[in-house]
Amino acid sequence: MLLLGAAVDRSFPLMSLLIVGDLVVEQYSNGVPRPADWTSDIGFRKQISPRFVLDAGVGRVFHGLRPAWLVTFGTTYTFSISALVPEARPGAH
Amino acid sequence: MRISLIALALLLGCGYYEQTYMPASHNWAFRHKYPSADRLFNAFDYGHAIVYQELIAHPDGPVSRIEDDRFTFITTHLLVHPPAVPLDEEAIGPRYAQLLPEAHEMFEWAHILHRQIYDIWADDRIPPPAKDSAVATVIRYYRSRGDLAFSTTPKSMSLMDGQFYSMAFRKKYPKFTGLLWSYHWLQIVLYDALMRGATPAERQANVDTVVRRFRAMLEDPPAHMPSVMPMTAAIAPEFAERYPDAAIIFDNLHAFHDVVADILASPDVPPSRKRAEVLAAAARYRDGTSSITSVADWRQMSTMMGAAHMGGVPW
Repeated sequence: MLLLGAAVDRSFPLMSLLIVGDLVVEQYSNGVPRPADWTSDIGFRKQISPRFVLDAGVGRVFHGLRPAWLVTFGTTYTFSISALVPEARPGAH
Repeated sequence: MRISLIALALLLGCGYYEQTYMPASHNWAFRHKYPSADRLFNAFDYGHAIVYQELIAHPDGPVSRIEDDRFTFITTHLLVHPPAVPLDEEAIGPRYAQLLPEAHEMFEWAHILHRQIYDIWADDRIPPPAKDSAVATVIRYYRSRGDLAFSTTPKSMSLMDGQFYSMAFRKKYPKFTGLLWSYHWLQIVLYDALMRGATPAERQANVDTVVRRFRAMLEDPPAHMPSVMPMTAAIAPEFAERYPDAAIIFDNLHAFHDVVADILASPDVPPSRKRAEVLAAAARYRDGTSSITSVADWRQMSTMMGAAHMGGVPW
């Protein structure tokens, strides 16, 4: 399979926001006669609190065997675990 | 766990790695209780990152790029409407983060210590006697990263003012220097604001006083800004007396901020030597042997320079 992709991003640091767009082409080479899939996506990553990040995106397979819409949504939550931090244990010196 | 992280970081080709806050119930207490002051910290992140970015990306740029354009944006827009969350300095100063990732991480790590100590003193659930032990814990956590932690030994001023590149930034950009020093003034004086308040209402009033005084510093710049680097023992004597290790760490942090700016601004340091000079200075500010002075001399030096020149004490 041949997979080619390109992406661009633009950050807006003062808004803690990143916008990303990409274009991906997938060409299968296993002898199956089918057109290449062309997919384009756009999405963002937004920090909404010191520990919480949201990301979401939408994409479209606009050329290929089965044109389709894609939607993605995710979150990242940063935390630490006391048991893994020796200095945070009670009585640590 | 830590060994694994270090090994992973080395395998990935970088000699340092990011680390998050020490887990604690007091985390983010300051952010929730004093949002107007907390948001200013977020804006402060921009000031340092953008000035380093400018000095690296536009070494021959006109003085007005920093002294007028950036300064005006910061004082009339950013500090008026500060961001709600800490900013990503790599996005503000990508060239700075690429050239000096170790210094960037040292700053980030010290800023976490700053914030965790504010949190301890902002958290009313922690009684005053227990705050000392909580502060000792976060300092211990901070010092567990020897590759990032500033020394708890005071450094003589020669480390900041006696190098061949010293004063380069301060002479060329006096207004922006005053702005950065006013940041440092607020960061330090807030400790005494929290420690001097016996009740939540008193602490809130003290924090409001400090924020008001900071904003007054921005009027008619640089007339009301600090004219020398604020030192903790002079402008936050209670904090420096109670937590000398933290006070020394923060003085070393703030001095190193100035040193990085001097190295980047100095025409005597060629571009090919900037990184090496910053790393050499960083090592000296982390170790406990280079250009050290006694705690007594550090206190005397701080007060001799005069708190009034450092922004003053608001009470």
